Amino acid sequence: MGIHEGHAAGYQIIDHEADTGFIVFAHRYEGLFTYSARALFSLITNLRKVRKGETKEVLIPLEPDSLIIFLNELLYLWDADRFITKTVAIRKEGSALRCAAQGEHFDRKRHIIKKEVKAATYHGFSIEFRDGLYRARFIVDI
Amino acid sequence: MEKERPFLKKIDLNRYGVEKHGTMNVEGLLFLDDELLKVLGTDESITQVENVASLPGIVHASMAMPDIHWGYGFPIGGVAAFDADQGVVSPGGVGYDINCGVRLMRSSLSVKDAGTRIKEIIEGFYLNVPSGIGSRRKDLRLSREELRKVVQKGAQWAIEQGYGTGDDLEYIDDKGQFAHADPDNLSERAYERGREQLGTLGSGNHFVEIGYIAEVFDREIAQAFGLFENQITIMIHTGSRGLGYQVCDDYIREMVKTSAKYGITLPDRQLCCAPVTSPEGRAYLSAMAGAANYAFANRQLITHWVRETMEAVFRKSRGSLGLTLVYDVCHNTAKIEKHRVQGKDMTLCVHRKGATRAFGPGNPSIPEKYKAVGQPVLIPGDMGRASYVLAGTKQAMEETFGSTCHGAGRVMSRSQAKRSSKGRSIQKEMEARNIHVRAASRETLAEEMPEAYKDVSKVVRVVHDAGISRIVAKIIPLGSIKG
Repeated sequence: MGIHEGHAAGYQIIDHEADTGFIVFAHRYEGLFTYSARALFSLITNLRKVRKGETKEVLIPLEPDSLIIFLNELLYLWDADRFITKTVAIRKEGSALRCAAQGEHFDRKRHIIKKEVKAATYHGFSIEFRDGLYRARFIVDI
Repeated sequence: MEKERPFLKKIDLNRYGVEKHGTMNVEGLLFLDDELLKVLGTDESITQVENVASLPGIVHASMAMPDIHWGYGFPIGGVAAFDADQGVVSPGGVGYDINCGVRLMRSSLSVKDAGTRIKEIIEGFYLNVPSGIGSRRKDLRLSREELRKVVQKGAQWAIEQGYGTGDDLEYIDDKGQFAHADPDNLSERAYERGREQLGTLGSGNHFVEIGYIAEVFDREIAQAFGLFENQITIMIHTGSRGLGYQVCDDYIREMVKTSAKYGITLPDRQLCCAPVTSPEGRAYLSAMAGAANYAFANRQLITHWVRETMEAVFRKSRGSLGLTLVYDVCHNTAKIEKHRVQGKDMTLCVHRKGATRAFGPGNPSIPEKYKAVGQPVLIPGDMGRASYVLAGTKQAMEETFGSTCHGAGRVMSRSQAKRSSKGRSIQKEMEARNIHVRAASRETLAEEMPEAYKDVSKVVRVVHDAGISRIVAKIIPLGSIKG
């Protein structure tokens, strides 16, 4: 266990018997999306080997479950199109979040696949703002 | 450290009850002995049993089998039945891997015949059965129209394409086809995710395993199932792949919002649900049936490639190798079934999440050949110890809506397993036990190491002693491929 991104912002793995959970910390609400995407794809592959050559845009409705919907969108891009998200840029656009996922398509010669992630779940999902930090907690189904 | 649970009461050596409290509509019923209860430690699975008990229309009890472990929403190893008129259906009560299941093939080979060929067989399986993410057969490409047929017809579709024979269908739960599937109720995305994944094993705990019958506990039933000591068997464990995950995600996303519309208070949002009779409930059940059919077709295709591999290794036909299906069970489903509850005939929506149907002797849903002894129940263990064949019982019909356990159940988190495997080669450790393993991912192998699971022998002993299944035979693994 440990925070993977410096002292404050980043993510921490929660031990869960069958699946894997994360607590994600960020200074801005949008940052939760960036670090959550990184946490998710760190389970799937070694992100250091992934380039940022391509961008996929997804539009997520702004609602309490936006983060889970967003993570499942990225999983869809991965599962249906084999697109690996390395980083994400987010901006609010009216009642939606425009998310630009940067990464590249899976290349068997350069990328390793660690495991399959079925979905981000709503079980125990929470977002709170405390001590100047946003904290999100979620569990993914492996 | 064990958690304090004031409402937990011991009923007998193999049962604990959770007294109704708070918002629970029914009691909890846990099939556990003292040792397996201890294994649960501080995890949240019993709280999850209590949460399920609070859903509307639940009847009899919120149950958990001895392989219970902490899931998301429903516990893994959970069984819950809801009145089909007054109750709900919950996508989270089925899970993302809809109709994840197990099939077992028998053979006319003995350990002596196959013992020296295991490596060759496993390498053959690894070559012929796409394992791991992104791998697929180049000779299988499906149009959208064809995929819709898979969703409608299930294993029947695979048989029509030449992947097996009509006899196989007889030995699959529901003959390999949930009848009420509606291809229109699956999203575009579900089809996109399913397009290239039919006929693939996937990763995690999915496998194809060759083993042998090490011990027969019930000769009469084993004979009916065509099983004998030292016989080579092959077990396949996989489900509905990305198509099923997307169906679950689509309907959870919808029901998280619609639960409130129906006045349902959720103790955990992953338990979101809709009345069985509502448009949302009906749409989910028909989409879930489609994903279940996809899973049946998936296991049927893999069966075909397993048979081809065995033919190539032994240079004999599948007929002379006796490679026939013992049975195929689902362990993640919600099904409309008729049961007798406290003397009253009821139509129920039975959720089995990490639990297996275990219908007893005489049930009309069981193949003719097994009707006198009960349906086969297939319980895979971990890759190093054992798997079991059980049979359904009348007691299961009376007490658990004809349900039993589905596997060993994890005891170690994935991170714990990885930490514990540091500096070790799980593959070499398996070799030392004469088990040849091929895995697409080293990480999967570490997470799936035997000690990450409960001892399956202890799990099946509880369901046997409780009377909700009978132990028939024990299978010892000789080799497996994993995703």
